[in-house]
Amino acid sequence: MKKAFAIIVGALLMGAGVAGAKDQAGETIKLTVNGMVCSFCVQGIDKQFSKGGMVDDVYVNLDDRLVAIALKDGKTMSDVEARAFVKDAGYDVVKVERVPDTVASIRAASEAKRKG
Amino acid sequence: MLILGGTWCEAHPVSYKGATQLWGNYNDSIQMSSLFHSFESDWALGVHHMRLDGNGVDRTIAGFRYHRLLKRWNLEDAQANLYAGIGGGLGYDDPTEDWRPAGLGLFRADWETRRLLAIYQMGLSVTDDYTHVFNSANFGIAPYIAGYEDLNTWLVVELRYLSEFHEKLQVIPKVRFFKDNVFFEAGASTDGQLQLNFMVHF
Repeated sequence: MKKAFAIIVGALLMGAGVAGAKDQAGETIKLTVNGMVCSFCVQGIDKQFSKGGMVDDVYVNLDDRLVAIALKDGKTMSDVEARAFVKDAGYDVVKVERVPDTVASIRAASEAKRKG
Repeated sequence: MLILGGTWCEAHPVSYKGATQLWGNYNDSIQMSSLFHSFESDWALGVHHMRLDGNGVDRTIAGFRYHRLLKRWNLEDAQANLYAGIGGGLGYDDPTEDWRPAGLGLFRADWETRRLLAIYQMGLSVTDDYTHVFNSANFGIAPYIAGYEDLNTWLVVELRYLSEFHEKLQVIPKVRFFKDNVFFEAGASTDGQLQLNFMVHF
């Protein structure tokens, strides 16, 4: 019983440690965006996030109305800032999420889904 | 008599904040080049140069234009927009004439999904002699739904009428491609005029 308790506590502490580290470096923000129907115009979202040196990677998926952003290590971006970048590109954010997935894994999952 | 033209845009007249757009429209009788900068996502300022050659006229026009996004509807699976524009410039009806002032107005309404598009544009060119009207409607369908990083292909039919210059409504089937920041469109009117349009933003 004591051993099981120790394992659970240990796992929780490890989880908290990983989550804390994630907040400090390479956070992933997932946005649901309305109006993204033309990839020529949606280039603006990529451009807005790419300026300012805060973002490491941007992934756009029109099927899911999804924009995923990987922040650079040590960089932070508030929901208000994320919404403003999308607004400057001409679109509206309807949902902001902070997720543990990397942009690479979101991209891989979305592309796999797209290819059926 | 003077026309200040260059009143239509194949893509949106205002782009994202900080974007610079270069576009051109070329056919047998109209050659137009434009350079615009979007200072915000709802307004842009630019310059254009156009030559109308044919139907007994040889006109050149150069001037500036201000484009304003009046209203945008960002929907789940569609986007719709209303734009207006004004401009001023100089031009001549004939290479032997002096440059003369002129102004213009532009209105555009569009609706687009990833499968269908519809665009209506009207331009007014005001001169010291008269008001001149340009009307254009585009209807398009995408044969496949392209992803963000894919080559996009559209089949488009444009109905165009430039009063005084066109004797009748022009019907122009076109094929449109775009990928990344490059847009290209080619077609031919039913009376045989080739049409090439391109646009790049950076």
